[in-house]
Amino acid sequence: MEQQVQYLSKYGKVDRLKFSVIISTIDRAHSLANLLKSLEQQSYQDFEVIVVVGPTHDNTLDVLKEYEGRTRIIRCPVANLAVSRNLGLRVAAGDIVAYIDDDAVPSRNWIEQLNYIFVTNPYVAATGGSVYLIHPLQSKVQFAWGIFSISGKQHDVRSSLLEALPLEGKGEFWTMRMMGTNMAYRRDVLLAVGGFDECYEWVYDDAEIALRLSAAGFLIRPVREARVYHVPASSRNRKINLLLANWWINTKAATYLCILYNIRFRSDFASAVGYIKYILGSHIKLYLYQFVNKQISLTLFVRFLLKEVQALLSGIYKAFYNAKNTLTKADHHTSESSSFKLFLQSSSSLQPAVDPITGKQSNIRLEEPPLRVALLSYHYPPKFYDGVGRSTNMLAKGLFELGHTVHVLTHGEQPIIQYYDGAYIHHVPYQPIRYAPLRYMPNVYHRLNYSHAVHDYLTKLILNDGIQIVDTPLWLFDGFVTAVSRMLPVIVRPVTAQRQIAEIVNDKNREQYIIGEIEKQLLLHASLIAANSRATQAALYSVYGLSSDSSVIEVVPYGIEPIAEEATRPFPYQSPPEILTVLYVGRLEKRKGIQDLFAAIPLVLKQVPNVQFIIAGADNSMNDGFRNQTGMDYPTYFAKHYSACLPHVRFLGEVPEDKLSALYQSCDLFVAPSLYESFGLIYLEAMNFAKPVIGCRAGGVPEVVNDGVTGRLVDPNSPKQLAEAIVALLRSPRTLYEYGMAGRQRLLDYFTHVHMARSFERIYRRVLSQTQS
Amino acid sequence: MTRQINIDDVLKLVEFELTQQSLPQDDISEAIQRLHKFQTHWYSEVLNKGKAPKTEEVVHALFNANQTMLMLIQTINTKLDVMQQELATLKQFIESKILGDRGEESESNLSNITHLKNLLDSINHYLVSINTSCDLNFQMQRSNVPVVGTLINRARAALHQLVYFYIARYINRQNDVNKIYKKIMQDLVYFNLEYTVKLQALAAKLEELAERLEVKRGKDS
Repeated sequence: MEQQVQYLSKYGKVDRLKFSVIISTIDRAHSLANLLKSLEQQSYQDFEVIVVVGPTHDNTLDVLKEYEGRTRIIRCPVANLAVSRNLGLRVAAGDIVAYIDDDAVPSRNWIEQLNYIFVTNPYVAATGGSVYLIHPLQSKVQFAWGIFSISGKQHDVRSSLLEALPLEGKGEFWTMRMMGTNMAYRRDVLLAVGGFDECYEWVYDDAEIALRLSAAGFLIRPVREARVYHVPASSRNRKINLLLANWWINTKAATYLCILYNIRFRSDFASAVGYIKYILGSHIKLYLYQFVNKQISLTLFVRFLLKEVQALLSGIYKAFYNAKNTLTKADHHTSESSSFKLFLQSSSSLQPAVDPITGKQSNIRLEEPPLRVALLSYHYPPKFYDGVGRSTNMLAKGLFELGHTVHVLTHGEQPIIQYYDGAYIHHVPYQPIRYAPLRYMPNVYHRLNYSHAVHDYLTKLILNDGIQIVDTPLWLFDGFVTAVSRMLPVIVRPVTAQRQIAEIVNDKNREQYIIGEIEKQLLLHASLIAANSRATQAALYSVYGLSSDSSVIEVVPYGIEPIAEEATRPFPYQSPPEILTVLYVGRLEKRKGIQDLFAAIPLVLKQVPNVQFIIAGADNSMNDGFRNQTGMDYPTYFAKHYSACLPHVRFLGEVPEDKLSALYQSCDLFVAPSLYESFGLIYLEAMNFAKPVIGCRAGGVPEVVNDGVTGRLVDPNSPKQLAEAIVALLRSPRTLYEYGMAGRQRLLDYFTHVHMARSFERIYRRVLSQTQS
Repeated sequence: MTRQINIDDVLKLVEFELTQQSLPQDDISEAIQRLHKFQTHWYSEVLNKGKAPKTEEVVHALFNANQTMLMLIQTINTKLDVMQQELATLKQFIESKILGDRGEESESNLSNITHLKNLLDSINHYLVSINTSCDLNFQMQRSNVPVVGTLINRARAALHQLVYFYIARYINRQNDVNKIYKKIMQDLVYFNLEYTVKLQALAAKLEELAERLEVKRGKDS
């Protein structure tokens, strides 16, 4: 005990410890480059980086050349993780050694938080945070907390350490453990217990060291935060996304551990043997499965079995005859005489954000440090493509292209993290456990509970990733609780508000009224309101009674990502098609003007018979009251009342996002006679493909569609005008071409996602400087 | 007649829930209950029913209970650490955002939480002690007492002496461990009381601020 205090006491009064970040790498140059770029984003300054390079065959050393002078590169002659970790430990000059895998990236405050744990508690000898697996299909919390026993049993703890209590079976020594890709130790303590046991060449090294430290009386204190994002890459031991791996290394390590600890601590022999049998048995079952499913040949199957037997015997032999502590007292001297090279340099703070999967970074040279923004959107691509989700996605993409780090919080069933289109996507689950008095208003009740879950999640994002500002849509008011708490500045992006919709559909429900009031409070609590059009701005004044004194409203038009030039399809006016195609995309509901389009179709067909109408979108007659009035959905209504036109009309229902592009490309004219649109993103989508558009003079549509230049505008609720506009355009091939081309140019000039992101960047910086002052 | 909920009620609920965030979830109580159930079950299983327990079984059961307690304490300790951070954040928030216009408040009794930190340190100290004390299993030595020979009665007596010797050792060690548990529990209770007092002080401060805000609104209108 005295020895431990002696080791630990000298750290007691230091605020900022020196860290040595140790990375072991073999043949993963691409992942290593991503990690090194990410380390430039660390908020903590006092750290060095030691890269231990194994027998590599790729361009790892070329990648490291870029960091010459600020990283220490050590060569490891063998492919053995524990040997590699010990080599890093030997030369480390920091007070703390922090290990991270070469295929992971740390959260911005990773070292800052590890430092906090060591500084605030001098008894902590080892710590580490959670690990999130980032994967397009299998994202999960890979490691939160774990406990491990001397007979090799382990529990991965997902939510509470108490899940596995009380412990059962025969008495065993259990300890908390960290995962190898996110663990940190006081250097002296690690040296004092002999470093990592080099008999573990791939797995169990992280768990075994926890056992040894704990048995020696040191305190191990893993934490929930200090996150690391793991983007698994293939290695010499395992092929990523496949079950192909050198599993026998696992068998050898487990056998060695169980027997060694049985010898040393007289643990329960039956438990140890049981665990070895379990590991061996599961490997054999896996090989059998792979063989039966023809994933491996008979030769390979037999070879794997022999390898398993060899590993088992090797584990037993090592445990009895070859166990040893690797590091000696001489290593303390080596370590203390090492020089400490800071990794960060003056330009590090201006490094743009990094895509942890591809390593992509913005080419823009930043003059101010990049921002760290949290965007909220209940629905988000690629799972859901609604208007808010799509515009948030475009904003995230634009901000990333400008060099900023973007985190998107969206609803999900599991707390997983993905990376998509330049942003970390955090899935936030929620339980309706709060706001019980509002249960009888289910929409309000659930949305407030979700908003609170988002708020809780944001507090963690502040801790881990240093979020500076929150941007929320008004729709579904995700950011309401955060705005009320005033924890961070909140920007609100209003679209068509619930209160406006309630007025349009004449809904006087009490719950709708409360939702409208919540929206108003969100607007009043916002640091700034970014309206997507002047029409939205005017609506905010009229619908919510806001004044320029109480709220700052700026107009920032939406933008979308321009498609490649070769994907556009301007109208072939020199050889027009025999059948002309008019496309409608949107929900089938009153507000979208679908009834006006129905009424216009026979009028158009009378004058232009060679036309077909494609109507793509989900029927919403249940919700807008249409079915109550008529007893029919929209397609049935059309079939009954406009049966003569039916051969010229195709209802596609809801169309998946990946098929929409083909629809836009194949149409000749796009029509969406909405009675109100806060902006009209849908017109931009058509303009992107160089298509002429027809909309109504309502809401923000005139700000997107330039009447007589990029399309035509008609009065809302006016099927006759709509029909005339459609006929006029279909009869003029040259105009179809010119309007389409002008629309595409207008999008490139004013409405790209980067235009939108630049405006938001300006707003964020202004709000942040006001908040700080 | 029941009054309809309005937006002021919603805002009050949000503020209420925001303050609730600091309170711990009740999984610790659940774990204590489970531990208690486990102990009762083990007691009746091993001591009251069935065949007489082997010394080894008793030791294993004691060891498991100790390990479980250790984990429970570690969890409570982590939660307390989180609470301490939240308290500090809340205090900072009140001082910077709300009491900004009254500098003297920042030196109030709210800012004195250093001894809470010391308390956490002492709990950690005990955790380290338990880590080194819970080694009952490691101390078990195989007996070298001969079991064969002509003097069977003497050998039996010697065996009994040996059993007494080990049981006494286990009991003494368990007593040491129990003392540490007791001390930790006392400290945790003390900390809980401290924490409650801090929260009450913050609540009173918020109430006072709310009154001041009302007065200010009255003046403004």
